[in-house]
Amino acid sequence: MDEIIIKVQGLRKTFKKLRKKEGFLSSFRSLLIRDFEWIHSVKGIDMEIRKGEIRGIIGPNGAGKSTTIKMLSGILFPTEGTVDVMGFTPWLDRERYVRHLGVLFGQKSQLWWDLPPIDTFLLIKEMYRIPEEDFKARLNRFKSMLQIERIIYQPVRTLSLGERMKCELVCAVLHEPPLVFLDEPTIGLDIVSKETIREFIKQMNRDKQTTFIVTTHDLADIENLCDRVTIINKGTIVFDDSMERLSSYFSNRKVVEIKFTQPVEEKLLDSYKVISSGAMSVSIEIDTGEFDLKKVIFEILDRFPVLDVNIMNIPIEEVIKHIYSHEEKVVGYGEKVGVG
Amino acid sequence: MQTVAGLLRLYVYHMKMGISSAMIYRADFITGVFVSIFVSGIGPFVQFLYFTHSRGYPEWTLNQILLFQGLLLLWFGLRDLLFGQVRNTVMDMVWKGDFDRLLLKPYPTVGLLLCSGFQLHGIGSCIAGVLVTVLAFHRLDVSINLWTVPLLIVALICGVVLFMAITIFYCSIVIMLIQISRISELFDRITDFANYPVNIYPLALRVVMIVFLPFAVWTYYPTQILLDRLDYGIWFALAGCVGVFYLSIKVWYLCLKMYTSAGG
Amino acid sequence: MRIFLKSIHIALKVNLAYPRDYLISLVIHPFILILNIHLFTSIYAYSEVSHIKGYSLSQMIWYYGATTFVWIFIFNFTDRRMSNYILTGELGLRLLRPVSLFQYEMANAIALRIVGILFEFIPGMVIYSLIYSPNFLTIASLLKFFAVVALAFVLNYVLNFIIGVTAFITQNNAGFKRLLGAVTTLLGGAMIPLDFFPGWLQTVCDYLPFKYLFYEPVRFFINHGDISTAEAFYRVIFIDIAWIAALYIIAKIAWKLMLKNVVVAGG
Repeated sequence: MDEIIIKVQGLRKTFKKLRKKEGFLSSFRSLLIRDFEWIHSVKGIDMEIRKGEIRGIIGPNGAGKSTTIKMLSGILFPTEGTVDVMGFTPWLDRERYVRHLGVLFGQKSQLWWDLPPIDTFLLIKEMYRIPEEDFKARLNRFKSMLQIERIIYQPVRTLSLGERMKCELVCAVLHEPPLVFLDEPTIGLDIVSKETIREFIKQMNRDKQTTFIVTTHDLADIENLCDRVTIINKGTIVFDDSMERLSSYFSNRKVVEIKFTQPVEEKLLDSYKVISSGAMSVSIEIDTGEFDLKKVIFEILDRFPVLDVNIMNIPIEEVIKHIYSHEEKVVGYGEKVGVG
Repeated sequence: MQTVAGLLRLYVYHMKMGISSAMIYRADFITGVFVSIFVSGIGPFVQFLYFTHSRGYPEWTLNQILLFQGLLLLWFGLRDLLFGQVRNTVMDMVWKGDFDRLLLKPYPTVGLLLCSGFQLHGIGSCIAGVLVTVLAFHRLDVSINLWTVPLLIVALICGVVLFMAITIFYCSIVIMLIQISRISELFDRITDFANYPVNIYPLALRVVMIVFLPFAVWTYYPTQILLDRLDYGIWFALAGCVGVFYLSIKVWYLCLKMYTSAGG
Repeated sequence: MRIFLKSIHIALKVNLAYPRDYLISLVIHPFILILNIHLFTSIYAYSEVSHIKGYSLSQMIWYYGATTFVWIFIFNFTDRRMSNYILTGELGLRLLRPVSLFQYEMANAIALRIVGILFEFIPGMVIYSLIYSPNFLTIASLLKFFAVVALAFVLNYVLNFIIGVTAFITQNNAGFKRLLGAVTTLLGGAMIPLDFFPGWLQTVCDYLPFKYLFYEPVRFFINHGDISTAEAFYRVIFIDIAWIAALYIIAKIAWKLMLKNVVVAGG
């Protein structure tokens, strides 16, 4: 259960990038003289992922996150460093390694457009040499879990995005790989479809201890699915800890949303740290290290005509925005992974 | 060996899917076949015109060239049928950035590319080729002896192997250069040299086409086999096909390595 | 008119962004030339003649080279661009512009060809001449060639525009386009000089506009036949312009019809 399935040490990747400039003459020039610069995309990453985890790997665009994933999946050679996944070095043992890997790209499809999904499933059965009984059993299970009994026999082009995504998911897990990469698995989906897909992922994780690595910009996915989150920014890891730590990152800070029964003058709220305000509502931030939360709340209830009060942690978006915009490493990173 | 068997099964599967896809757009497909037959007929027509206004090619009569044209069309159809789709597939993939997906499949990437090559449209040229060949048989005195059929089969297999090699070279260049769109045309203009009997070329070029880039094995030698005027050059050609194939695989792996270190 | 020139300018910038594509063509041309050299030298030698249908060996070899050059001058993919507009829904956007689609596409086509001429024709001409000298070329024939090929460009553009408009109505007609392309090149003299056709086929070609796309410009380029007289030159120009005018009218009619029928869907 606590076996480490992915071990990354000192991973680095540097690219050569051609410098391109505007204008007619410089296109000519680029034919003769190659102007390039070094891009340090990944600058030393260490990471451990345990079997049965659902790990979120997130980061701003261009942070080196997709480059890291590519190296973990074996389609890119690193400049330096080692990666061990289930005993394989991904880019060296690619063909054998990839048999144990499932991948879902939310923005690209591997289903044949004109044919029903079942045909693509059969192709995958062929490719991964899935035995007939296993194939039937798994397909039946997926059909009921995702409610796709009928649609798998209709041409892909007639399906809605939600239905297509469910079939894409089946493609990724049909050969029951111990490790699955999910890239934007719920992009563009309605809330019900998102739920179904998340449930499916969690169910597979429970039943088969499948390890999932989720990369996404959808924070609801992260909150809902992931046990641990790794945040990569500017080529290095800036956060690597559990979801709880992430949500209570600013554990000292609380956000209080207050609705009033009548408009309140702005001046009266001057003594508080106002984040946002509407005609009859306001959001304020309270540093619980400095102030007693109880006292402040009672004070507000006393002074103002309050209709409703809501106390919460700093929303995850704010936490992540904060982490994205800072480079220093964060509390929680560097501590070796304990149990749970 | 298991990989090869697996790839063959994959090829058959792709073939079935390709046929299913084509049948969905049946009307388009059938008109496409008729158009193919007509368009491929233009080549022989042009050659025919050259022949009627001059003495033609040395060592070839009109009927013999007719046989050559028939086999040429048959070859075009066959190679398009087997691997015609590979060029579009690989260009499309690299353009859209989908190529990485192939690398995540448990098979040699070049095998996967070749497996996706089935193109039902090639049948048009095959039909035209069969028609012209039958016409030529009718007008010539084609003798079939004990050795004809095995030799033809060997030539065919080596021809297919050579074409696979050329296609692999094409794929290698595409993943290296990505954006250049006229590579296909360049390859076509080079293989155009195979559309004429090799004796119109000077000696140096003839040697290249028989030994080093044995295009002659596609149409020239099969025609010579049927006309019963085979020369020993064919053995060099057959060996050359295997050699070129081996080279193409080496080049491919080199290019793939460069692709995977540059991140595409 | 200013807008027209500006459109050309912008299209030029777009096309000049990738000069590497044109370099490949410089590699392609020698292969075509070498094949033709061997093919025709062999035919002429075996037949022991110096002229076939009025073409000397060098003229024959250069016929295909000239066809390729004409292709550089007249090529455009306006029809594909236009069917793309329907697919991507961009058509509505284009119709809102202050320039008529006809002129806009023409500006694009012109820009495309200017780049082609600079990067393909001029270097190509140099390479060809180095490999096999064009001993038939004269200044007069070259100038007449430029005039005829300019008209061929307009003719090809109008033809493509009409095809593009009909594509709006018949959504997916790839097979039809292939067929049309093959017929155009065959009857236009791009695959073989029209003099080689049997008499009846030549008459058919006379009644079609296609020979003004390839055959006529090439004839002037390689200085074949009776082109040296002013009368022959003006006759070609006159018929050429007549065809362009006729097709332009057809294009206009087709365009109006299409606008009435096609609903520009939103979103």
